[in-house]
Amino acid sequence: MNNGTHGHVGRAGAAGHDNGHAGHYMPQVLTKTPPEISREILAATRKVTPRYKLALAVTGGLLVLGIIGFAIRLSDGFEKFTPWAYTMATFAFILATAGAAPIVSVGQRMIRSHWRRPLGRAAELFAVAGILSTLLFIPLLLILPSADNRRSIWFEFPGAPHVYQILGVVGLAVLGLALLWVAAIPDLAARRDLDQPGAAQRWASRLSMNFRGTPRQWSVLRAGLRILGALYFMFYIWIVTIVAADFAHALIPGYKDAIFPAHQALNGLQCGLAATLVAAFLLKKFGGYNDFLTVDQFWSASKILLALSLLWAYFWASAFMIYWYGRQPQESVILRIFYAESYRVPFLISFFMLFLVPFLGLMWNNVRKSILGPVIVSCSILIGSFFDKVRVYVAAFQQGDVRADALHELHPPAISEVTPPLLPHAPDLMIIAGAIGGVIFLYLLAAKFIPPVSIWEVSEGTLYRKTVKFLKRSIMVMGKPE
Amino acid sequence: MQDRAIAGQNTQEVDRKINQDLLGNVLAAPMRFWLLLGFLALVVAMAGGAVGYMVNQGLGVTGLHRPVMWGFMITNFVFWVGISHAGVMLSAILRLSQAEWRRPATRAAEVVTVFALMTAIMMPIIHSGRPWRTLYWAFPYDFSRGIWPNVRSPLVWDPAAITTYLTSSILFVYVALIPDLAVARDRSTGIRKAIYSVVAMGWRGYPRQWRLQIIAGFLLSALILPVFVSVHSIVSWDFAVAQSVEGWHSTIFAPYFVIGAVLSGVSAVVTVMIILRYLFKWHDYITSDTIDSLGRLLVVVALAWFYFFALEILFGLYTLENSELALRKMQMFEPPYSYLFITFLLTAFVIPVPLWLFRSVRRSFLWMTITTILVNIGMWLERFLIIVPGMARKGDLTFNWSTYHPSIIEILIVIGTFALVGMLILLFSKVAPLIPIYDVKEGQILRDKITIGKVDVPAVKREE
Amino acid sequence: MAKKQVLGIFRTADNAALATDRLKEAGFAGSDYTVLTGSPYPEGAFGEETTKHRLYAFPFFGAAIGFSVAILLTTGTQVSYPLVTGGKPIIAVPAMAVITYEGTMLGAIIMTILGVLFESRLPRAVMGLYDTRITEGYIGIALNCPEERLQAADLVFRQAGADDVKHQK
Repeated sequence: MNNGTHGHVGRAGAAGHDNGHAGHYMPQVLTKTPPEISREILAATRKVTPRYKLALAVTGGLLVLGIIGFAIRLSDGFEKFTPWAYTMATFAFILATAGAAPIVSVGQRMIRSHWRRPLGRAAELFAVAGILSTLLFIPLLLILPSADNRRSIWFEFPGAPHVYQILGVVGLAVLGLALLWVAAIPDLAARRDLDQPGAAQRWASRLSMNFRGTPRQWSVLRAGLRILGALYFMFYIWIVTIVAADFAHALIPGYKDAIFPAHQALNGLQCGLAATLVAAFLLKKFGGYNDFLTVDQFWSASKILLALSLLWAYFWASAFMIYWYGRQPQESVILRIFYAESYRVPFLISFFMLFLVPFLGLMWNNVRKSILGPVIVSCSILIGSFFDKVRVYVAAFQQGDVRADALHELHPPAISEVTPPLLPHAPDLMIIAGAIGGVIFLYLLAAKFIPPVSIWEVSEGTLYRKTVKFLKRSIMVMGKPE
Repeated sequence: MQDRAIAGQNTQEVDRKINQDLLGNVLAAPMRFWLLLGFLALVVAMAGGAVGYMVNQGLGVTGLHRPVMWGFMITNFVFWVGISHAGVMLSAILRLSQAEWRRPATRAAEVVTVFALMTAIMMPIIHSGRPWRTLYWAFPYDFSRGIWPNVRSPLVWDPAAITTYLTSSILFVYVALIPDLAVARDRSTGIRKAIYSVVAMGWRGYPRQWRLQIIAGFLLSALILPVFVSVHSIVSWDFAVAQSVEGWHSTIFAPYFVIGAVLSGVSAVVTVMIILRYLFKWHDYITSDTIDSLGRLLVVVALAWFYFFALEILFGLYTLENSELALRKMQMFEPPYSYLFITFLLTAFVIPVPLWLFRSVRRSFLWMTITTILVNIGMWLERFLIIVPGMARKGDLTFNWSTYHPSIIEILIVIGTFALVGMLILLFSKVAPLIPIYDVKEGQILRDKITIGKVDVPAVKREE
Repeated sequence: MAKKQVLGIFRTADNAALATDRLKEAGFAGSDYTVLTGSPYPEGAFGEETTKHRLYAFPFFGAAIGFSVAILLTTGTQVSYPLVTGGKPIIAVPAMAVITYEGTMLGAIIMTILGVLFESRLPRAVMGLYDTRITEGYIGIALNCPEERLQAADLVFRQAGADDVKHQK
């Protein structure tokens, strides 16, 4: 496995010291100079390979397919939930992956970890998918009845839930783009200065807004990123909470599961990190960023991924135990629908892929301290998460039709019937493929304009990490700025 | 962020000063130590008397009355289990994340865990009225009669979880203590030296032993973390699996209790550390940097706690069931619970969290003492408000409803538990250092700086 | 050939590191000596090899024991006293899982602690040559030395800047 030790990434003290044979782990320190970093990252950003073109064509094709599927679904109208069930699951999946990915960057930037530096932009770039998820959300919003005279977390609050839902989804998309843009200003300035004149250079020039890199500009940039990051995080938790509450929880009469939105939000963080690692792997392998994305990023991220996967299982167990113990009639029916009967297969897949694979894989340091290990686990998490969204949202949308009466009563009789599972139809499959392909398509496009490895953050990182001799070994010294 | 350098010309001077500062109380405690210990022992004795009186007279001397059969003592049980979550939260998570500022804080946090947990266990046992009988409710030992505990009851899960957590925490503290016991062995004489020699087990401090010590820190942290999460979850299930009490049967209880426990536990560690700082003059070890970092952590924990709190309330109200609405109305708007609810919200969240956003507050020992004590007042009330109002309305028929007023016996017992934990921590500080000596010394070896232009950035040597 | 211990006491880590080089030059093997310090130094700081241990096996072993005991206990007690409560099956897996989880973790933790002691070679009835100054910041190098080379070892330590050299009596 290539762990990126060639080029200018040196294992601390790899040469010249006599303890290399002793087998002590030595962290990697990037020894490139800032001009070298700028040059190499920009060269990789500009380069358009045949493989890139092929990927763009394939994902673009999928997007078109999705649009066709979407158009077919539009003919079903907005009276019933069932036709849109898989669209909802797809939307929830994109919200969980692309919507949560920027938090990987935000969170790590807040705690000033150095390993995040080459990884942050790969996460932030997912913000471009906000455009797609907003479009996907519109029909879903049209099906949802108002909060009047029914059980919801809004308690007949004026405008609820539509106004707050759309504000949330659009707000998240706008905040994500703002975060991506602000974090990329110094890199766009680098493109402005180092690119040949052309469309990309012109746009970079406009968007970098005459950024020159004065101490004041850097200070404002950092403060801006902190504020935007905190807002994005809070907005994300908020929007996942209300989406889960309105589009799943409130559609099932008698369902009362307070941890459910928090579980969905947690799954988002899990998927966001997984999506970022997969993107980083592809950037490393095929994008030309091999020297910057090293095993350190995957190793450090994998510890968080393991913790999130354990938490996922814990939240699941917290909910399951109460229902299993409670044994009220509606609790038993819900258990049968979600876990034991109707959606048993998606549940088993999601439990296996969201918990067992990450746990049994990442508990080994050898797997964590590799590139392929965390990436395989990330793929498992992404697949598991999709099935989890199918289980939750398709089951709920199905109930939206089966128990349509419950949507117009404050005290509807609780769910009592176990319905068979709802399988996807051709347009649903087209929408799923189109939406996922669309996210990748947009990501690929954006990654050719905004460097997917942050030049300024990587350059800054070289200031704070160095290798020194300590007695008879070499060791890394790591600075933490205030 | 890094600890301040301990002044000294060379390693020996620095190490000697660290030994002297941190072992000072072990070898020769100041008078104020004995005065405080005496006072706490007196309060504990008073509470002990109250317990004896209650055992002798029966539970009738408490304010417990049908249907409120869980009152101050169970509230106090949940509270102390919550406080016990400080140790692992700080020690394990900060060890795993290699946070440098953890060094002076870990042992005090672990010790708080052990003593808070011991105190917590006592509460349900005392509360049972016939403490000796709890043995065969909880442990499978009654071979002669063939009656076994009901493993389907959360009241049996509790002892399993708490015993595991307590055993693990004690062993964790002990293993990390061995190198420091060796320091005490090397600095003492006579019978003390003999005792320290036995408990230090012949520690010499060669690379293999240090390596194992460091790996043990990580490994045990990783193993205890899942136990720590399970303990308060299981405590929460004492309530949440029951359907007969309004407001309890909620899926969010487990993580909500855990995050609340972390909030109160970390706050308690801050309070304890500041008190120890003044008592033992540990100004070079527990610095503004340490409590600033803890303050930042508290902001994050408090916000997470608030999210779960909001979800708990929101989804409680969501059902619009009359009984649930009536309970929430009573909890929030009807005296005396309404006063307690407002106090709880103000002290646990509304006052401290905005204050912690200010760097000057986070770095002020006085403000951090005040705010962290406030949090724990709030968190104690939170547990009371979960337990008692629900129970007061437990019966189906209104004439079975009742209120609860704690008796002086219960109040004395609760006060006594605070004195007991304080006393046990002080006693511990008399036999072993409450700040890990070797950890602080390692911090001094690893501290470094990186010069960037005209700025010196604090740095640390990292093996990984 | 009888061996005796020699302990060199150094004021600085640099001198101690130098002494380890000199010992090697004088023909002593890495396994003949060990460095004694009052606080942990980064691994390899004195040129020592990576510590080989089997600590990671201990928790798995302990977990297996804890798991088995917990399963036996929860199943056995319920089967021995089969009283249905709360409409739950006698062998109620989710409820048993709670106690089994705790048992597994307890087994893992206890075995880890035992593993730490075992791998650290503790407890030791006889400590070997030692000096209390080590916990005061001095660095000790304890050497197992053939009797006929004791003088040579003493000289190596002193030339490397030892403050003091102690010999086993």
